Amino acid sequence: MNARADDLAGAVFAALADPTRRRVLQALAERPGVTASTLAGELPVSRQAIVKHLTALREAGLAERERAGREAHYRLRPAPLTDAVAWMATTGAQWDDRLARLDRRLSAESPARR
Amino acid sequence: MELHDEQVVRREVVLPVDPETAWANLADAEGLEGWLADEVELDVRPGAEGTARWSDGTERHVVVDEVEAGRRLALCWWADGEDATLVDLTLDEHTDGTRLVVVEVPVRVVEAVGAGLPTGGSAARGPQLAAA
Repeated sequence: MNARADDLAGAVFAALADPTRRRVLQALAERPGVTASTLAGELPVSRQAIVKHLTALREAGLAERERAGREAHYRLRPAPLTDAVAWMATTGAQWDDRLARLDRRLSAESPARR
Repeated sequence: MELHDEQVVRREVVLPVDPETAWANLADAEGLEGWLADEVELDVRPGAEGTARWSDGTERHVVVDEVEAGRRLALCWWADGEDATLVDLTLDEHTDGTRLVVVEVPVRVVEAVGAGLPTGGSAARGPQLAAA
C-alpha cells in the first residue's frame, strides 16, 4: 500500500496526540539539531522517554535523525504536517457541502420554520 | 490523553425541523442518500456494512458502529487503501430546530489517545474497526 496523504495525516495526528511529544516537536522546530540529552534536561521526562517520543515522531515522518559522533541530532520535517492540515481542510470542506445539502433539503420541506 | 481540536474535524448546523424529522435523514439509507453521499447502501444498525458513493466516482466502505435511535449515529468509513476515519453524527434539540454536530477523526488518532469521540460515544474499537 502506498503512503497516501490520508494515511500520513492519521500517523501525524496520532503522533501529535501526546502532549509531551508536542513539546518535543516544538523544541525541534525552534532548535534544529537538538539532542535527546538536551531535551531530557528541559522536559520533565527521562532521556529514555524522550528517545521514545523522538522515535514516534520519526516514524510519523515528522523528525529526522543525524548522527554526529556519539550524539544523535534531531530536526523537524514539516512536510507531513502540511498533509495533515490538508486532510483537515479537505474533510472540513466536504462536511460543509454535506451539511449545506441537508439544510437545503430540510429548509425546502418546511419553509414555515424559516 | 484527550483528543484535541486540531486533530478532529467538527462541524455543526441547526436544521429548521424537529429532532424526529431530522432523524429521518439519518435513520436509513434513503434518508442519508442525497446529502451524506449521492448513493448509500447501508442498513443503519450496529455492525452493518455498506457503501457510500459520490458522483465524482469516489466510494467508501461504511461500517455502522453505534445507533441511538432519534439521536446519534456513529460510523466508520474508508476508501480502498486509505486509513479509516470515525464519523459521529449527533442530534440535539435547539430553540431554532435541531442541532446536528458532526465529528470526523482518523481511527489511528482515537487508538493513539485511547479515548472515545468528544461527542461522548465509545466509538472506537470494535472488532470490525480493527479489521478496517
